[in-house]
Amino acid sequence: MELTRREFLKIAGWTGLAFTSPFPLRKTSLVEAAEKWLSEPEQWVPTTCLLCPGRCGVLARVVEGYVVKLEGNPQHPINQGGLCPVGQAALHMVHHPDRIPGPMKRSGARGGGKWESIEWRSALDEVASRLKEIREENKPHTVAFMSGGLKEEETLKYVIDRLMRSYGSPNHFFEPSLQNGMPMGHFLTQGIQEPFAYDIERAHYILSFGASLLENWHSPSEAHRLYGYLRQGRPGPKAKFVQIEPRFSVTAAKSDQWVPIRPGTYGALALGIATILIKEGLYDKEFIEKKTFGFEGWVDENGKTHEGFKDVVLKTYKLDYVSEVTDVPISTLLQLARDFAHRKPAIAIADSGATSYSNGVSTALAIHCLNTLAGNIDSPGGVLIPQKIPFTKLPPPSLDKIAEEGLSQPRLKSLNEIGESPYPLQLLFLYRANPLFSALHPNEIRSAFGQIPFIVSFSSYWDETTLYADLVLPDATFLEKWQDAPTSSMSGLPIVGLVQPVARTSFKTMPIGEGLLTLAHRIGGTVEEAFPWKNFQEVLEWRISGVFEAKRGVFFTAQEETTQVRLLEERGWWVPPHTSLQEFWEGFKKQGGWWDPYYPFGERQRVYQTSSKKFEFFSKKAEGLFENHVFRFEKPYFEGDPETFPFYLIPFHLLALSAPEAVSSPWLLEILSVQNKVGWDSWAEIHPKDASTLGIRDGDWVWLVSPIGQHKVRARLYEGIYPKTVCLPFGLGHGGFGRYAKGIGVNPNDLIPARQEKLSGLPIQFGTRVQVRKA
Amino acid sequence: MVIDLDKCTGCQACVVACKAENNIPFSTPQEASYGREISWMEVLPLLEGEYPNLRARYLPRPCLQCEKPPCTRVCPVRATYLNEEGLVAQIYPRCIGCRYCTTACPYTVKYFNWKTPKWPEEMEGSLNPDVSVRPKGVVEKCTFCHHRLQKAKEVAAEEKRTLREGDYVPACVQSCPAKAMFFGDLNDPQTEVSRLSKDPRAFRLLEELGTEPKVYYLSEGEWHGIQHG
Repeated sequence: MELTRREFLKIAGWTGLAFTSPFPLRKTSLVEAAEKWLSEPEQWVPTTCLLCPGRCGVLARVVEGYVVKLEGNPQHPINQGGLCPVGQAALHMVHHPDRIPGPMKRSGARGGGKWESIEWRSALDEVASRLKEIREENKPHTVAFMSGGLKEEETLKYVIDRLMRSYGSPNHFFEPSLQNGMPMGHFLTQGIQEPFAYDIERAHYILSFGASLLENWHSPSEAHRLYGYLRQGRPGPKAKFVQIEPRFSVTAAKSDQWVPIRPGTYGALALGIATILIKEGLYDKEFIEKKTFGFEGWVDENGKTHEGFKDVVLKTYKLDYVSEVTDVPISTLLQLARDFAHRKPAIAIADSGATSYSNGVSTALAIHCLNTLAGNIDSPGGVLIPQKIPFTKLPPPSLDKIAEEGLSQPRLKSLNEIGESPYPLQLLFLYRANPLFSALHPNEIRSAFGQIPFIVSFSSYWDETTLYADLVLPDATFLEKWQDAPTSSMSGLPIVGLVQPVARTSFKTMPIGEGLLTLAHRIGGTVEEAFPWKNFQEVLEWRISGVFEAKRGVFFTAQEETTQVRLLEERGWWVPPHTSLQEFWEGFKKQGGWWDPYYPFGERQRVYQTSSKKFEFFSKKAEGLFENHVFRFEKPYFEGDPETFPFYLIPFHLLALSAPEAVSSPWLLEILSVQNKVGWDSWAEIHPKDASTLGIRDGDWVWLVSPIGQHKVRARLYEGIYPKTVCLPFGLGHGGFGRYAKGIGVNPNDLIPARQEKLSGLPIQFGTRVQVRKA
Repeated sequence: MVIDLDKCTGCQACVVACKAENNIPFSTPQEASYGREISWMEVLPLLEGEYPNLRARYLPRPCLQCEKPPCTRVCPVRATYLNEEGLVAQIYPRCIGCRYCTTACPYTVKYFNWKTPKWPEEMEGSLNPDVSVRPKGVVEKCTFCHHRLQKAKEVAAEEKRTLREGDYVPACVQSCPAKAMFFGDLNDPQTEVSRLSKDPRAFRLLEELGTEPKVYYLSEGEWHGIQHG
């Protein structure tokens, strides 16, 4: 029996009387009660944070059912005991007074903010009957699902995909603002679409092309932990960090060298470095010869002569040209290239900071080729290809005729296509996606959304898009539900964390997984048959049984034990710590997850999934996508002519807002910027010299005017910024997310035209110029 | 406590961890603009140089728990004093809110409660039951999570032993993702903090004031304007 403090007080009071009564209570029971209370006033439960893609292990301190603190799980391989400010502030997000209290139905005009609360049963009935109707009209493809923040291998993603497939819609897409273009570069050269891992833990030189390692990295706590380890603690020579970026970000500030660069010219810089490596013979010749294709020129089967990577680069990217384009001195270019070649292993890293320009994919390719020239693919301290988690595969659902027809319809690739889609959408589901805030020029999308007759949101919070929905089926937060948290470490190791319910709240929420299963069951037919599980937990158990059967890896445990398992696996052994699936589950729940600490190097089939089984400087996949050669620098496009709009607008990410719901926490709003101690507001950073020409002083109100919109914001004069550039933080300017976030700051997306990178389809976040005027 | 500034990434996990652990009321934009935000742990930025040759440092600043604290000397009612554990303690019911100590502290670690702290009902369940909420009109500051020390002492006493290294660390140290913070007994030469405090990289803040802080910082190279220890 669990004893609450209140109950204990009752017992204590009663025993107090008992001492005066003629029938004294036996002492043992009092001691028992007291012991029980002393031993169980609180519990520590292992679970996993789902706020950002990092998937850190946490230990929740639970007192009488309330979560009162989260700590990092010291045995979790990602964060090893630390926990970032956003994870710490999860307490606010779970206990937020403006969370959606239960299922809601719109009662006034759309977006008017009038809602009535309804019962779960009737809410789900309504959605199910609409879905049935649409299906009966043979239009299942007109139902779309937009999700945000799901990981590739997550069970919830599989359930959504499976539901949409068995229902007959090809339209499950991800919120585009959360993705970066690097994987497209990997796909065109190595045939792999999943993100790669950068093994900085073992690298000696880290050349970062605007990667926000310490702000917006996909797993912040891991990046911070590795940074600390590389600075002090790792034996041997110290690693050197170089940050190339127009803004002196936190990552730049904590690096050994900051190289300011003209916005959007990372690709030219990377190819310039490649030129020096080739010209000075500093590249890994053996690697290039054995594991790449297209470095030298060749003649194809039709007798056509192709120029090799080497010739193209040497011909085009002469140093004076590169220096002029990038505004990086030639001496710095030479120093970067030589350092990169000599401090082995050296790694070139990047994220959306480099790929969110109009030339995103060609930039990704140029940066990735540096790792190839250094021979640093699939080697320690280099670019690793994460292993898949051995989940049990769900058998493909059987499809009826309606589903087959629906699936054969053209797929909507992104949200921007909603307005001009070949068929009008009937119903849109949203899960943790907030396009009316996060998309570029959100007002434009609002009108497209207006044409969708029914929008259902699974959000736990009143975000902008949920406020515009018709029905809200609030999901439970990660501290209130069962889920899995598959991820991989920056050393490419597969990890599955467990998410289990630990918090007691009074909100009438339903985990989205349960909601989707219920809907499938109510639709009936082949859709119901595709989900033979009673609840979401059963799906989880079913998938994770594959991890048990894979006979490898270890639960999160002490480092010594993990090292032993790794050494055994290296030699081809594995000692089962559990004999039955039941035992495996118990261990999994108790330890908070499983991982495999062994990375097998040299699995060529896994690393190069191209037709040549090599890294391809010339890829068949990319043929015709680019003029001339795949590896080329394209000038970035910025909206607005330089005369009228003289400043580049380069927004940046804040660590404190690295999850969409983070903005709802006042703790995080208080600490927005460590660099200039700003909280509770947006600010526009501008170089003091530019400011003095415009007569702007620190703290003045200024107007930022772009070709499509304007915002008034306070100016901060900042030395750490490329001239003629204005930087503004992403993530503020909400009209939703509750009382603390609403009305704080401005949203940079309002100023940026909704354009997409032509190959990846990703939003061009750095794609406009602005005018700065004193307000 | 020892804080390695070479490892610190300025992420401010320590700041939020402290607020969650110690039931620190959050502010509003207006209060923050008056400078009335309470943050026992703060990360202070320092920026030097001109474009493009810049150098920035981020310095986490808890209460430095001085051995010769200037704040205790000015307290007219002995509401703040150096306790036998070497911590600068606050006795809230005794504090008359004169704020002499907030002025005397050269590190600005003391905060005054300008209002009665209040949380929405939904959030009340998530307050830490081990830490009392301070009333309006008193001064508060970092305690090195003294409640955790008390618990650790009880456990040690139950197990009939003295405190060991790692029995307890404050919330900020526990949360640090970069593992830049260390905690232990500086008087015990066997502990890591004691070893690190003698590192050539070690220094203390404004040492020339003679306050003898018990927080050491580690940093490579020179620290402009601040003497090395």
